[in-house]
Amino acid sequence: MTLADAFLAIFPHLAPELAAHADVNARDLFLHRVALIERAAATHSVPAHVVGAVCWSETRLGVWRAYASLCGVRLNHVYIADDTRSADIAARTLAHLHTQCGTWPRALARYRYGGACGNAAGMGYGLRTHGTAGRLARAQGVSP
Amino acid sequence: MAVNVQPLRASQPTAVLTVDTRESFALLHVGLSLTESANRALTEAFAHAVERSPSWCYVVFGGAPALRIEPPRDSTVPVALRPREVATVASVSATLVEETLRAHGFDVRIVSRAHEVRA
Repeated sequence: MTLADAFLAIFPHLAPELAAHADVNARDLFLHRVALIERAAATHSVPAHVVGAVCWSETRLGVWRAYASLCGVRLNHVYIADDTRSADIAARTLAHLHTQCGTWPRALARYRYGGACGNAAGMGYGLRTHGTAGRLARAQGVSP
Repeated sequence: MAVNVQPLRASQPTAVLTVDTRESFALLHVGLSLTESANRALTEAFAHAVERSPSWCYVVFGGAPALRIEPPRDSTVPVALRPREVATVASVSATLVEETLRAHGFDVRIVSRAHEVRA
């Protein structure tokens, strides 16, 4: 199962939203964004379900609202509007943080809130996003 | 028969506010024991927050009590400025909820403040 199929499987409200969207290309746009995430994850050897979960947590991949940056990436106070670059920087940062922090929840907390690995303020975010990643992985039939 | 009656301790109820700010939306969770008085306080607190930002802020039904903050679909705020605006509205809503709960005698603890992501 692809990452896009996994998203559609674990979020039953997603497919009706894409079908009902005013933009007729909403589904194609969603698939394109997920493909960018998968490519960025492969480039930086990060599980695609983790990068996918982070981008979903940040922006819902733009299905409901416009976003400033696909994966919530900001450099020098400026949000990275280019989808390819946003996914690439997110995957690269996650790879780096996982090496530093040892576990995904601790790395995700730092990704969102900065500070030390497992920043207490970000652990709720880290655990929830890691939970989403786990559900995506199980839907894809890969180990979380 | 002697009965050892322990006096009830009038402890202050506690509420835990978690502000979870993402790139394009924010969630404000309130953790508290839902007694009748807590329910009234929470309803009032959420009403204040929604009244302050009616098109950005709404109550999430189902699950733990929460507010969701996101730009309206027809928002005129430029896309690049929306994350900051979301964080600002989340912060203001959290303050309103905190103040209302405190006025109702709650000991309010804030787990996390609105924060913008960086990479």
